[in-house]
Amino acid sequence: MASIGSPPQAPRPVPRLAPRLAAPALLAVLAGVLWGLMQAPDRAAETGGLGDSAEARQAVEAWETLWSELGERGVAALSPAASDSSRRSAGDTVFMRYRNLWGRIDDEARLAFQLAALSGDPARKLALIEPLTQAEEPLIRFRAHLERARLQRRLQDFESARIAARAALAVPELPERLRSDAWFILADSAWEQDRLDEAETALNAAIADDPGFWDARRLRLEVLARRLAGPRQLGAVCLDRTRRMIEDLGALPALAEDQTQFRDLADRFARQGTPSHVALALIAGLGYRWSGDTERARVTLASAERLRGRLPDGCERLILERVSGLLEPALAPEKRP
Amino acid sequence: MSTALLLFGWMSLTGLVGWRAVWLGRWTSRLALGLVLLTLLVSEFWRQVVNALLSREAPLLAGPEAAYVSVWILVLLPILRRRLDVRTLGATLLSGLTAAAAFGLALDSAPLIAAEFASAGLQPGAFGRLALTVVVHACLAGAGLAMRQLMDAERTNPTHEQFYWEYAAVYAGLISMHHAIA
Repeated sequence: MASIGSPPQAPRPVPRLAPRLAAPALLAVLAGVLWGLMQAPDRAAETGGLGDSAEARQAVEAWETLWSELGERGVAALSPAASDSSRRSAGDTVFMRYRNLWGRIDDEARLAFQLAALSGDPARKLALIEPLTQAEEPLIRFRAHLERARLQRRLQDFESARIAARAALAVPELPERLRSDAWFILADSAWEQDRLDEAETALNAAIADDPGFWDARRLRLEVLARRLAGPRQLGAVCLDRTRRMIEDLGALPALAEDQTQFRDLADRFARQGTPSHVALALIAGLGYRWSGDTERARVTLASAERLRGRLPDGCERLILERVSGLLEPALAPEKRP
Repeated sequence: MSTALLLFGWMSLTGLVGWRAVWLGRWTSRLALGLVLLTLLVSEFWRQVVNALLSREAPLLAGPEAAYVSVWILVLLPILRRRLDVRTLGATLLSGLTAAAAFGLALDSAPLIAAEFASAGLQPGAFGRLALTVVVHACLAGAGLAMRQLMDAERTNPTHEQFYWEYAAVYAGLISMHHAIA
C-alpha cells in the first residue's frame, strides 16, 4: 500500500511527441514491407547470392537461358543467325564487309574515295577524304568519317581515330547496320589506348547491331578476359561478362566456318595450362570440349576449383556450378554432344 | 524477413514509449541502444557494404567527400566550440550509429515496398519511385530521431525536446554518399 505522504508519481521524463509520430510512420512502412514480402517471397535466393537488384536478376536470367539453350542444342545455339546476306562476317572495315552498299553515290565523291583507296600515301588519302566529311549526304559523310578513323588507326594515331569514329556515329539518319563498324573502330582504338571500359561498351554496341561481326567478337573476348581479371566489379557484371565470352567463343568458329578456332581460342585462354580465374577456365574448357578434345577439357575444367577467390563470390559460385555440371557428363563420354 | 522484424521492433518501442512510457521505465534508453546496434548488425545493406569492402566488388557507398562540407560541419560543431569531453563524443557517436541504422533500414525496406507495386502490375515511373524513396526515408529518419531521443530519455527534459543536429547531418551525409555512387 502506498504511504499517504508520498508524492504523486511524477511522469517519466521521456519525450513523447517524436515517438508518437514515428510509430504510425513505422507501421505504414512495416505494412508495405510485409505486403512486399508476401508478394515476392525470397527473391534473393533466385539470383544465387548475387543480391536482389534488377541487374542481378537480369544477369542470372540471361545466364540460365544461355545454359538451357546450350543444353538443348549444343554449341549450334550460339551461331548467330545470318539475317543479312549482304554482310560478311569479317573484313577490314565496312567497305569489305558490305556488298552493294554504296550504290547511290555521286561521281565526284566516288572518284575521291577511289583515288584515296589507290593512293599509297596516308597523308594524301586523308587530304582526299577530308572535304567529304562536310558532304550533304549522310551516307557519304559517314563513310568519310569512318575511312578517316580507319586511316588514323593504321597510322597508330588512336586518339584521332576515336574522334573520327565518334563523328561517324554522330551522323544522323544512318541505316542501323552500318553503325557496328564505327563502334568497332572506336573499340579497337580504345583498346590500344588501354581504355577498356570504353572498348567494352563500344563492342557490346557493335555486336548488338551486328551479331555476325567476327572481328568485334574476337576483340570482345580479349577485352572481357582482361575486364574480368580487373578488381572491383559487381557480381552481376562479372556474370554478364562471362556469358558474353561464352557467346563469342561459340559464335566465332561458326562465323569463320572453321572449327579449329575452338582449339586456338582455348589455347589462348589456357596459356601454359593455367587460366588465371574460374571464368577463363570455363571458357578454355568449353573451347577444348567443343573442339572435341574431351580429356584436355576435363583437365582444364577440373583446374577451375583451384582458382577460387579471384572473382566476386556469387559470380564465382554460379560459374563453378556449371563447371561441375560439365565435369559430370564428361566422365561418361557417350553423353558428350 | 529480418527487415520486417526490425521494423516491428522499432515500431513497438516507439509506440510503447509514446503511449505507455511507464511500462518500459528505465529500460527505454537501453532498449533503444540495443535495437539500433542490432539493426546495424542485421541490416542487409550494411552487410553488403562490408562485404564489398572486404571482397573485390564495387563499393556501395562513396567516400565521405561525396557529401557537402557544410553537412559534416554540423557534426563537427562541438569541436569548433571546443566542447571536447567524453560525453559529447559519445553523443555524437550515438547519433551517427542511429543515423546509419535508420538509413540502412530505409534502404532495406524501399525495394521491398517497390516490389509489391511491381508484382501488383503497377510500374511506378521515375517520379513514383523517387516519391516512394523519399517517403520511406522520411519515415525512417523521423523514427531514428525518436530513437536518438529515447537514448537520452532519462537526461532530457520532456517538455523541451532536443533536436539532434549531428543526427540529421549524418543522415543527410549518408544520403549524399549513397546518391553519389548510384
